[in-house]
Amino acid sequence: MKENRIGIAIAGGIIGIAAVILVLMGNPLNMGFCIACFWRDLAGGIGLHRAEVVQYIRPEVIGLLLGSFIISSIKGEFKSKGGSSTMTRFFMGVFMMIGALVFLGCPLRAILRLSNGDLNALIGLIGFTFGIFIGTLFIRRGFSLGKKVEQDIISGISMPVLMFFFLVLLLVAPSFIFFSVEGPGSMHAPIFLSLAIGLIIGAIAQRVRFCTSGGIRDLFLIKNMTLFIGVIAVFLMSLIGNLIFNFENFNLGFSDQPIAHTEHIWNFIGLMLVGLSSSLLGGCPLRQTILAGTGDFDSASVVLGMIVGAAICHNFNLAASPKGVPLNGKVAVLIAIAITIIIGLVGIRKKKTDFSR
Amino acid sequence: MEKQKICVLTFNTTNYALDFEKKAKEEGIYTRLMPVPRNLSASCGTAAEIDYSFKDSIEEFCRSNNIEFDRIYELDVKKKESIIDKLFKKRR
Repeated sequence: MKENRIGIAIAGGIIGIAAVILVLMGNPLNMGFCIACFWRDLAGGIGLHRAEVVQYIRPEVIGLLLGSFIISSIKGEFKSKGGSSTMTRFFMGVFMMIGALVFLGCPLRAILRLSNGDLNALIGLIGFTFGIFIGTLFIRRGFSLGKKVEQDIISGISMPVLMFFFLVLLLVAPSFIFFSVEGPGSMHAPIFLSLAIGLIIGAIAQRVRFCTSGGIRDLFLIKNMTLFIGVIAVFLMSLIGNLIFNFENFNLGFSDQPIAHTEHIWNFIGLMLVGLSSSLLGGCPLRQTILAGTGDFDSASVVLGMIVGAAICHNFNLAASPKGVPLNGKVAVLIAIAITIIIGLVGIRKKKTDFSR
Repeated sequence: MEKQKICVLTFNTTNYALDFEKKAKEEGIYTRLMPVPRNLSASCGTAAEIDYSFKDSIEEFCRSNNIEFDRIYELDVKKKESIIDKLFKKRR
């Protein structure tokens, strides 16, 4: 248990440094890693949405999922399992993406944004924490999405295979694949560097169970610091890395932050939705991606939900931009929060009483 | 660096872990919730540490309180405090 803490601190530190390296090598500023943005870019790359500035099959997320798949297979932890409210999880993946794209980033990117001085991210993270807190209230009252059970191998392996297919698409680059020529989607580190870092982080994150929401949930629920140490480590190492290697871009404040807006209420509410759904789902977007690599197809359905959610966000004009949050996005986030709360209420189960009989 | 035997109880849902802690505290049984130790599981659920001496009665205790648990593990832990442990000692 002590080893866990040291391991997770090192893992968090590596993630923080990796994010700095990816930015130095070409990724957009404050976007060394962003699970939501990268699935969104992938959705654009395969043409599910036509927002021309955010289309690129990001090798980082493919690497994350495959890295987790490879290491869990080697260690004998790959297990095809699921069947715990799979469809509900899909929709919660959609909602998670709506929240993330209203804020402009997943919780991991929020930490990275903060480590480069973007204080809008601090407001987002407060919202995220608040969302998780609401989630723990549901959990305390008995919320559960049900038990996962082991299934045939095809279900579990389908997501890694799909990722491999996307990787082939990226490398072969057939004409039906989209590559942004301008905007964030056009900015990226070299493919093989991104892929390698993704694979390494995926493997490490699987080993130490890195999760942004899990860390905060454990603070509330069981007053345990273990997972939270990883979150702190990402922040610290990324902060140090930014100050040393990327100092000219360090900008403390609210205004003129890269790929961010200053509508505080919506930064708060956007990540609050992500926090609430993460704690009900049992993991943040990164953790869901990692779990999908280990054969958990409930998490795979969250990931597919995020990809579809990204397409919805850009096709229906829900996603924020540096100009701010469009009206459609505001309405969508509020509806998604309302539905998530309903899911939370419905999921509060009475304990089985026949257990003792 | 003496070794100590402890028991760790894992659950299928976090609820049961919380329930277990509540009921155990009511009956004055020592327990501490924590993330499932990494070497036991790749999941990120919640587990409860209990005193080794309590191992044999735990099943009966859970049954009478309607708490479903997943498995009981026995662990050897080293009773050495790391720096990090000392830092977070107040949390124990």
